[in-house]
Amino acid sequence: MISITLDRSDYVVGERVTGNVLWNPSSQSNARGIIVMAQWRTEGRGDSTSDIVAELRADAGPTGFTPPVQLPFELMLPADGPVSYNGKLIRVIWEIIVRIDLPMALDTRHMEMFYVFPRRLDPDPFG
Amino acid sequence: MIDPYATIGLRCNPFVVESAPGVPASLWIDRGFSTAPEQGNKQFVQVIGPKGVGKTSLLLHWRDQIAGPYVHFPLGWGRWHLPPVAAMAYWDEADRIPGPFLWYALYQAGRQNATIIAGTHVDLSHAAKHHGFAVQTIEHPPLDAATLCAWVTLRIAAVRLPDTPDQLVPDDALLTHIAQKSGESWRVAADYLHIWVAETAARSVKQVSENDSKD
Repeated sequence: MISITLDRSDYVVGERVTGNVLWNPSSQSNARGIIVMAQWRTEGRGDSTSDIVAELRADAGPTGFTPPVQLPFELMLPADGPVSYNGKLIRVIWEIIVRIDLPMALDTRHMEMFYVFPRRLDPDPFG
Repeated sequence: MIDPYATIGLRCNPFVVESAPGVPASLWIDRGFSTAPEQGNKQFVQVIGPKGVGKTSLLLHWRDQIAGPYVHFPLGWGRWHLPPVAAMAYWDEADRIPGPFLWYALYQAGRQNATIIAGTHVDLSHAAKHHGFAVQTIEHPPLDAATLCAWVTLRIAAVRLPDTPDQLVPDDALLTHIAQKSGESWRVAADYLHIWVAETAARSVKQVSENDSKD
């Protein structure tokens, strides 16, 4: 079981997304590593696209991981976005993806959505 | 910020375009031609119609029943190759196959008594008949409200969050309106339905925000 806890659900471009991953494998596992990624992707009525903007990897030590595994993370968001968007035909979705790198097996994945907003200027030129 | 789709009990919009073509069996709507033709029957089955009527989905649905090589002919230089020939072969966008290649492949397929399934925008029966094939043409009928309702129900159920009630039910007037505007195109209908779900979700999130601000 993987769970992702984000310190906040809303962020501003250029900020760091912080949180914690908890991984408690249900069976004996010899995972090579845990990868935490910040990704945006589009979803809607057109072709989709995506980009991983930041990534963190924790490799297993010589004796492997000792469950339950706790992994705090801090990933930098780009200053130029894109920002989250919920439109009628398209969405821009930000999410943290956790991937457990398993040898000779399909990797286990888990995702948690968060929101990225534009930075407000101070003073706000639009009032 | 609240996920608008979660406020109406959904994981996402049920009408997003999937990255892989085709329709999962659990979401398939039978319109009278769900069973694949027999293989090795020296027949040419052309699924004909404009974009978005479900030609590719039907070819892939049949291929799940009877395996055979499937090839999609893109626009441009990528179309310049011979289509595969087998007891059952699937040629998608077959009208893009250059003439000499189409005629040669049909000649080979005729010699092997193959069944060719072709997705096409134009009638290719002349070339197929010339090579001795029995030709069957499948055209999708226009969408109607009942068909759309069955489809919408399946799609919504597929993305409903666990333990949430069914909060999203389209009325007959909306479905009839969308069916009329979509003609025979599932793709156009999905565009309208995507907008309908997105607008419903936006209204719902606005309502939730207003209620939160009152509290």
